[in-house]
Amino acid sequence: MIDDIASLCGTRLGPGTLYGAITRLEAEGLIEPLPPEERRRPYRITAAGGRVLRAQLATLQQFVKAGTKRLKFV
Amino acid sequence: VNCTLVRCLLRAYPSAWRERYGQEFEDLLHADLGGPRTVFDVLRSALRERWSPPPHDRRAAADPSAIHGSVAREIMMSRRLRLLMLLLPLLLIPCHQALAGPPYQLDDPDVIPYHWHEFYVWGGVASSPGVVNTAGPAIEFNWSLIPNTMFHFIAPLGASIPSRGPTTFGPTDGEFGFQMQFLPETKHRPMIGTFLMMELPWGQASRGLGAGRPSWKIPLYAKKTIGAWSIDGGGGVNISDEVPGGRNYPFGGTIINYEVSRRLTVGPELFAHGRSTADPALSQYAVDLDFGGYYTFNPQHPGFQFLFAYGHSVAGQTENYGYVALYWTWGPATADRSADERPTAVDWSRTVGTPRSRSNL
Repeated sequence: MIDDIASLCGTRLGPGTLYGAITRLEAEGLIEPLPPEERRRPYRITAAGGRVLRAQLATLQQFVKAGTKRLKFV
Repeated sequence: VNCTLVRCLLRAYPSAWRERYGQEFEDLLHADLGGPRTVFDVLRSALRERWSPPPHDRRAAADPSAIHGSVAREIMMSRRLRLLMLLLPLLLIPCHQALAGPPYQLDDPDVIPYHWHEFYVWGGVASSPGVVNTAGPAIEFNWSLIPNTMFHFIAPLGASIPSRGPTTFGPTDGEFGFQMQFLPETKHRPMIGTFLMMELPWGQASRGLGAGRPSWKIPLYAKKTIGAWSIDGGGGVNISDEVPGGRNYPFGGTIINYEVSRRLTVGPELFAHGRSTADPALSQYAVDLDFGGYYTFNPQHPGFQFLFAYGHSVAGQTENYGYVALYWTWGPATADRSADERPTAVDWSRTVGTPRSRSNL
């Protein structure tokens, strides 16, 4: 997961930061653990998590759209 | 060495967290235990789990708009908290809440001699459900301009670390106070006095760094020294109904100190306060059990000390409290003793008082 996030956004999370996020996401019911696969500890997004993620992405899309539009005047 | 280090790092987390994530986190650390940066990252996160664990009510699932991006927030907080962690050993303390006396939460009626001064460089941390408030570096200056009284002033920097929302750092609310001893201590009577406080709303309330409006504290304290023991107790009311969302509430407590040696004095404190917000969902009463004390570096020159305290709630809402400070006091020679003749810590405390209490945060 650490490698995945690093390749996606260029930031390599420390183990403490990663599990801080996992702890909060699980407490908020946005992700849930799956059975361990050998040494891997997979998690999956919940239905509520999907809704929140969609809302966040929509906000980001609007932000990108507005920013790109304003950049044309720079 | 790595196994020992991993075990030590895991122990930094609360036991409930270890029960849930301990095994998989340990596996991750064994697989990816980097250098000091990783250790620091883990300790920072462990501290956050202890001071501000996430709420387990899953309100976010019902209200997606309340989510501000837990993962993103974790990443953004890392750099700021890294700086705070570096300062932590010396610089910490709470905001907004009734956090008081060096090193305890309760103040006392013990006034420094006429024309004496006190100076603190201090910091601390206080957490309550949903937020961790830190203060530091902060300074406190006290001055006895009139006999049996003392003016008191605090100017802190601090941080607000909510469990939801961004971390903020900057000047927080200051404090101005006036302490007056009504009755001196005698063999059969404690000293009695007050320590009026006004919280100065300098911090930006919109960023969580201040209350937004002034509040006042009106207390009455008593203190008695018996040999190596001293007992301090009292309480009052915090007038904070002008603070947005705030309400007036009572507070009080007691401190028992024991002079272990000429260098070290320690003791417990029991401190309680009422609900401070109009909305019962935002705060509740709490009873905190703290343990603290002060260490005199050189008993021959007791005007320089290290103060410390840590506490946790034992009833009411969950709270933590921590405080550290360096303390200096100085002034002209008193009538019965020259400034360079302060032979024992006991005599010193009776003459010029123990480190002052203050209430801020």
